[in-house]
Amino acid sequence: MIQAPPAIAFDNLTKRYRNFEAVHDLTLHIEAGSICGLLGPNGAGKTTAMKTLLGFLRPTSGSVAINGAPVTSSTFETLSYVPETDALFGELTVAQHVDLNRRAQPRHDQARAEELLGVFGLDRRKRVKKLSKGQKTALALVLALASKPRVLVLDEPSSGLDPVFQRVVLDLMIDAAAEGGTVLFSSHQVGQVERAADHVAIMRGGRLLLYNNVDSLKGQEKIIEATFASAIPDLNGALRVEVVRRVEQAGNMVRISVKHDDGEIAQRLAPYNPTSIRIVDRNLEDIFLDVVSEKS
Amino acid sequence: MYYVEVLFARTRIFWFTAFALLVAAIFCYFVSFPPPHAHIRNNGQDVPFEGVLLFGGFFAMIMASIVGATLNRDGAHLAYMWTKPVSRERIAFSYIIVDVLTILASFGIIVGICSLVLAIPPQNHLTFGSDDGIVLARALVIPLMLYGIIEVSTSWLSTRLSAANGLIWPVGLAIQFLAMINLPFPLAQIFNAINIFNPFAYGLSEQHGHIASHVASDSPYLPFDFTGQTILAFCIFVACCVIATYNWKRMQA
Repeated sequence: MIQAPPAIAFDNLTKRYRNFEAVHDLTLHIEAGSICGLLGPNGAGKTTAMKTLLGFLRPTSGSVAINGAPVTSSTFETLSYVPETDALFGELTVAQHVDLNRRAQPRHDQARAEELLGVFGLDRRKRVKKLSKGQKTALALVLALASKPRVLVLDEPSSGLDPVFQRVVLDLMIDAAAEGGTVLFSSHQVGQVERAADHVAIMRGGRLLLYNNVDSLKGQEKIIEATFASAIPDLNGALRVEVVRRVEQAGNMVRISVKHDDGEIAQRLAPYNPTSIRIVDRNLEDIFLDVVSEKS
Repeated sequence: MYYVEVLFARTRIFWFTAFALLVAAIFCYFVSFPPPHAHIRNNGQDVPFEGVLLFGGFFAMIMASIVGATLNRDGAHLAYMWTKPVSRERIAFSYIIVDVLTILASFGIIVGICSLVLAIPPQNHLTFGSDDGIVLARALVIPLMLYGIIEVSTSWLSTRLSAANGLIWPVGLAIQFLAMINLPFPLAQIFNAINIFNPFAYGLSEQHGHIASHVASDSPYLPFDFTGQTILAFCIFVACCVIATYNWKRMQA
């Protein structure tokens, strides 16, 4: 059986600006129907990678593809992009932007556009220059989603939005993926990626440090929380094993980050008589901080 | 994709026409009701149509400066425009077409208003000559060339270069001046060569009484005869648009 090509593919992509390498040898394949959150500190290369994917920047080496094909103007019939910066026309009204989208996008759905304008409470008659930053982001999202894209690329999509609309944006991305679309979005907010994404890619200094399924990542590593009745005893001897990544103490509780928990740590803690031992999945923020600090 | 540019052009044409009509109305008023002791006479004169065409050409150059640098201006919106299923060449072409039509419309508006103003006092009348055709071509091609030069000089960068629209006037006039004075070798040759790409060098700056007498003569600062220069200016305009489109298409944003 022939396997379908990934919806979004970066293959050994490198982008260099004179002496500065913004993206180094990035290989990342995102399968159709997936939501991939791209995390990384400022200057990680997230926006450069996205811009190269969309053809705004030429790769220094390597290649990018959408559904197995190079990006051309016809790619944008099924691909929508929401940029980080405001790219709309300040002098035009919200309605004129929707009209432009209707003329330029064969898949534009006017009913969907109207519905989304209502969701974000955007006034059709208002000029874009009179909109707040969050409203501009919302309009860019409306235009992107009204084209019913199969691939959606969003650079900081919740930038400037209040928490209610941030939640709406995440729900819209989840809906898009549920309908078979593929979503790649960058964010500084780990919580957003954790809530919406099924896969996470972590970049730093232009390099991809990690790409994995969010659930399996969180399941791979555990946190063991042990609470003691009085002061925490000296556990150094018990925790000097390879699976322990980090130990944090807070009051009477000790949090131990471990790889591949097989019950060994709990057994080692038992002689110290903890009042409770709880084993929980690590959250994405812990994983992100570990990965970024570990590889620095 | 011409939709955005048409919306902008509509606004520009509206204000341009409103301003031209206002100036024409003021002119008509003062000619019809001259203030006491004013030396305004309206005693019936022949007005050569060539003059009206050149006047229209001058205002079309102003419009060319206003609409110029379209591709550069769009740099701020590339993330939006380049993610439409339309080729970049087609986007650029639609912008340029609308801009060219705007320039031609502004020329037509000025020529129309001037002709109307001159026709209002019945004793004045426009006179037409055999050179009107080539003067019309020249009056149209200079603003187009100016537009092309602005486009090509600003299309290679996504950073806004709006100052180019205004700067081209003093720079163009300075180059024309430097080409006219007797500079030593090789400066004279350099400025004469640069001047070929200077739209202001193609203007009809010298007056020998009747405009047609100058039109018939050739500019000593440019190669070819008058018709050849007009064709050259048009070719430069076309080449500038092609190069500007190529630059813009290859730009990294």
